[in-house]
Amino acid sequence: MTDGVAITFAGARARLFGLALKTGIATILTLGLYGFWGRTRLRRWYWSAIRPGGHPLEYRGEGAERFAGFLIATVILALWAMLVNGLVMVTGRWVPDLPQAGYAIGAALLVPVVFWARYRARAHTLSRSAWRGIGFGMAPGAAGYAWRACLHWVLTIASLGLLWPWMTFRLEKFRTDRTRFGTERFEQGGRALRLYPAFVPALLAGWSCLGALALGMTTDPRLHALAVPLGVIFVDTAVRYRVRAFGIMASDKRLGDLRLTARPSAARIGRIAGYGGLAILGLLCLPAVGLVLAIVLVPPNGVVPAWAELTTLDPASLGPATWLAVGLFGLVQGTILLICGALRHAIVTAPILRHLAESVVIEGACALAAVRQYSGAAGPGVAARPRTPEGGA
Amino acid sequence: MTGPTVIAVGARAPVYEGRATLFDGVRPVPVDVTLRFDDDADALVIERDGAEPLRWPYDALRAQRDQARPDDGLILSLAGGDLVRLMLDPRDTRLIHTRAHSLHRRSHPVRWRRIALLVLAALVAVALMTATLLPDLPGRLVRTAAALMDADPERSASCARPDAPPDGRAAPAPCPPP
Repeated sequence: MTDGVAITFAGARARLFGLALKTGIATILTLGLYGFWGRTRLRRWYWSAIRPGGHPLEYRGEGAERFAGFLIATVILALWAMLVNGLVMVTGRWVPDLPQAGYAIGAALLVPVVFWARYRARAHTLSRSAWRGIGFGMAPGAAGYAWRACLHWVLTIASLGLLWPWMTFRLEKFRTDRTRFGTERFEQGGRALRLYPAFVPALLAGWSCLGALALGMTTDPRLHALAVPLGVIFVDTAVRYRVRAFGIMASDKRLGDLRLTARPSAARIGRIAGYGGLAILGLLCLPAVGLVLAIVLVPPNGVVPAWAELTTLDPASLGPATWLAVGLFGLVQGTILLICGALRHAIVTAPILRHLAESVVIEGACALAAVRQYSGAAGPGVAARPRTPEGGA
Repeated sequence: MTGPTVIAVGARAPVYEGRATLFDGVRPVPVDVTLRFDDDADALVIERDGAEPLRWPYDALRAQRDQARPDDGLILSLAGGDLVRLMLDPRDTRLIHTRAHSLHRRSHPVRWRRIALLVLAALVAVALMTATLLPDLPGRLVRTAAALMDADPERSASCARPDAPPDGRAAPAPCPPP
């Protein structure tokens, strides 16, 4: 075993496109129900494409588990809404102005639940992930994560975004320090200050953009135009910060004597997302462009109504040919939406994951020999599965 | 020019031996193993240096699904869910397929009873929530349905009908004149 282990990405995008398209069609035919199984299948594909040291990661989750999670969330949210509504109705008898404030407080109290659910979702995903026959896992801590995340968000908003890197680092450290591979626990080293050089340009661009918007509203409306280029600069610098933060924090992670080195390129990720996004946007606009061209080029007596007719359209006066054209347009637009969804996986998500995966190197891989299968509980809220070390009779 | 073909009547076919990589589910260290097909016992025999051979029944073999590169060879596991994994050479894949016919079945049974109970609970919760948040919803639905069935399409559900009996609710706006 060599000391440095590279991570490769081994999937063919045509196959991924086929899988995404197939699951997308099944999702539509089942009115969204198959989506839980479809997303699980896609995750399985992505996991198996990422291969540290040539051995694929494995995702063992099932669509039924995802569906069960959705149902549990539905029950919790419905009960929550009933509870809030009941409290507001009871207390509203004495305080007349309470309802709006009560509903706002009820919605705000859901925020910690969202963080709690995100931690649980990550813990579940890890408990269903494995590499080289060893499972990942995450220690319980969803409640602690939820209140910490709320606190960090309040402080970050109060500081006008200045504490964003501190929040990024602290929350990532909380999650990483509770993540394990087999018996070994990950550790997030480093300091939040290391993230600031990459963050300052994004912060300045964000402040400038907001300032232009505020001045545009209060003094000169022409300043709104300035917000557009500043917004573009903000998006660019924010993407750079996210990629740089990923690289810095990944390079500061440890697993015993094993450590990671990550050097992702923000420019490359920006190019993938930009060109891919433009291609998908172009495809999405294709039917609308076709319709406009038809209105402009086809004589008014044709099937396609003239623009003036469209603006003063009376549905009762439409003939069957026009309804057929509208139906066909809807069908084409729906098909294109489906293709775009599948294309997003093939030309945006997979290439970005490929780049991120290939930018990471595992150093000190000899330390893997010290790792053993974790024999404790499989994770919070996850039923432990039977494990027999020898795996057979 | 080849020599004469010799047909050995009654002789056993040569024993097939393949190579594979095993992850024993205890340590993340690849182990080179030798594979044999024991067709009499319907089992795949996995031989390791210095250890008892593993015998995996053909019926219990499961292949990983939705693999990014299935041409790289099968990754086998056993039904039941432990984490022992066997990574096969692509040329052995066909040999496994001819013997193991449950490769693509689930490793774990889906707990449909639990799913059905959760669906029921979710439906009840949503119905209760709807009844709590929108107490007048059944009445509105009835009025909308009555308006849709009305012969006069100009009249909508939101307007009062002169012949409608008083039901104790707040009176809606009167209908516009026809």
